[in-house]
Amino acid sequence: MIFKSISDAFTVAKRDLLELYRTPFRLVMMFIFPILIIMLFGYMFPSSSSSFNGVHIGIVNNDSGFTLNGQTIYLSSSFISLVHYNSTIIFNNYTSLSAAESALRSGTIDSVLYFPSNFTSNTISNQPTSMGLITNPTSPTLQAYIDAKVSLASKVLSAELVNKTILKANSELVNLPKINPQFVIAPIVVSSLPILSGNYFDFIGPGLIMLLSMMAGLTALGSALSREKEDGTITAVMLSPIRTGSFLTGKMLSQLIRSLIQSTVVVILVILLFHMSFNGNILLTAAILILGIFGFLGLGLLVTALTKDQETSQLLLNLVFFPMLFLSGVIYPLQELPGVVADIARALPLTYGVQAFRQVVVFNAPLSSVWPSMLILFLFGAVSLVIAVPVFLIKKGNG
Amino acid sequence: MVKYAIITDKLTKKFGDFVADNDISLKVKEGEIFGILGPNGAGKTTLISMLTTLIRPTSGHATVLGKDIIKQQLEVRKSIGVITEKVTMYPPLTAEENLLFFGRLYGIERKQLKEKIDSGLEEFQLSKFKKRPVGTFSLGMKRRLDLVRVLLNEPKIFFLDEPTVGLDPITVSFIKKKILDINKKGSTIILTTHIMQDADELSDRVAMIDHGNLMACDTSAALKKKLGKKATLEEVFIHYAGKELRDETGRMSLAPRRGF
Repeated sequence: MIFKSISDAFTVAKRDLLELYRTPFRLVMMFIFPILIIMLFGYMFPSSSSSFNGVHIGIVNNDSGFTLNGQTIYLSSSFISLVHYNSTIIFNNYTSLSAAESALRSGTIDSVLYFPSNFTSNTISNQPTSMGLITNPTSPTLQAYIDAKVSLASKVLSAELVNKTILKANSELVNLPKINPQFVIAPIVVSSLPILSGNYFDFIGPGLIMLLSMMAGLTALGSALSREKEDGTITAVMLSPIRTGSFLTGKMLSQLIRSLIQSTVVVILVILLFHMSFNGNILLTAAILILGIFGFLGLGLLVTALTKDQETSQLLLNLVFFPMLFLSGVIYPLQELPGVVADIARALPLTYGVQAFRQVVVFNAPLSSVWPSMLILFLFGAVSLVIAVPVFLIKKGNG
Repeated sequence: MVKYAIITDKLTKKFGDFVADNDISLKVKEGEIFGILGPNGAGKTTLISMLTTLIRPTSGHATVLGKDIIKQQLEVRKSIGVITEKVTMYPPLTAEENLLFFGRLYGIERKQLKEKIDSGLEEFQLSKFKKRPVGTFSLGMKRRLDLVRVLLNEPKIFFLDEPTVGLDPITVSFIKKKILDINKKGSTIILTTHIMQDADELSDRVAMIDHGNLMACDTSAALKKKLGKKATLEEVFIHYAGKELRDETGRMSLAPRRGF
């Protein structure tokens, strides 16, 4: 009897997978959907490997330059070419600050650089000089990009000016120790030690893969069961000598295998297409993925059991999905969340899945450091199944 | 001594306040074709759903081949075959794959199963379509395939819920002939239908159900005789059910009403 129950579960799982194999559209969507999601979210924030296109900066250049031996030099020109370096930024010239401002308001340009008339001449007389930057506060990521470009240009140009001035001063110092220009430019240098390397995909990739596993777990039984109901096949299955438990186990098993294949392919594609780092132990990675799916099977079954049709259960699942998407550290880190919201996030099981998966995949964390997260996922799955299965069976009896 | 395939004792099913079946007590003899007739929403499908273990009765008892429909569900399911008005095969899978799947659930040995599938498909003239997805089949082909599926299990009792709805006359006559063949081999057949001619032709005895109550249960000849010499089964039906048109409340199709 036990043997028949187990073998029935495998028969059901095998059939489910065969059906998936026979429906190429579903099979293709299974891989395209996650890749699409990762691309959409992945390009949301600029990373080292990505840059903006079609950025327009307005220039208001009142710099009168400095003339030496009949040749006029403009420091502002060097500044602008430094901002332009390695980018596709387009510069528009304006005669007055107010004209540039109205262009910024109308959206023609994204930012304004303003150079006063004494911009070059100040530096020649060894005086600090200043310039203005106006950025568009409604587009934070674009603002950050332009800020970075401008501050890099100012750093490079400043260093060059300091260098020249110090070298000239050094030549006039006779009995005193020479000054190292670097000491004036930046007395303290912070350099990143190349132990952990990576990009934004290393953050969002593992998060989204885990999120997709959760979705697979949540929707597994719902969509499978309602399709069977529509086709009438569930009647035929339930009229054969199979236990409800075997049927459910089979359904869960096929979903687990399916999600595992899906995640594996997605992980490989994300590594190849987006250069996500993969340093983790493969067995540990797979174990966390499986727990991520398992953790949500019970919740999905509960929703399926308590709702009458697929539309209602879809609505309920969205209610679970969206908070998890934004609160579980999938897209941005928990540290960004305000106090109470962070507490809520810490109560969500997906938070632990995402954390553990990211640590293992990107930083090759060992089992000893991720087992508490794994245990939380397992317990959540086990407890929700212990609640969901009896509810499901009681609903069955009441007709 | 007469052996009974099905015995029901005050079998009742309520959905909230609605009484779908009320105190139904009847006995079906082994080897007979037993017709269940009644207007839409009379409680025929609910009765079959209880007897096939898809839903639990609210009260009362029933046994199918001596097995209790509540306590021995798996045993009951082992000995029955059910054809519903809805086709019950997975559209993306081929005919063979569908049959292999159900055959495994019936617990048939793999090698024996393959032989049975081949001979079943042959018998129902579907051998050519063995490797074709069921989704591409016509309704008549699907119904024939359903019969192949059910026969794999060699059931002792067949429940046929409106088996000829929506089929062309050629398929209807083919299926009716098969029903008689199956019956001749010793299987009991429970048939629900709206088509009085089918019920009259096929059934040894018929039960009339209306508003969840068993109104009459006898051979169709005896029922007709009560109304007069030339009465048809249709007149008997109207006699018991009245001429009032029925709304469809309480209509259900044969499906497990579980937490699905």
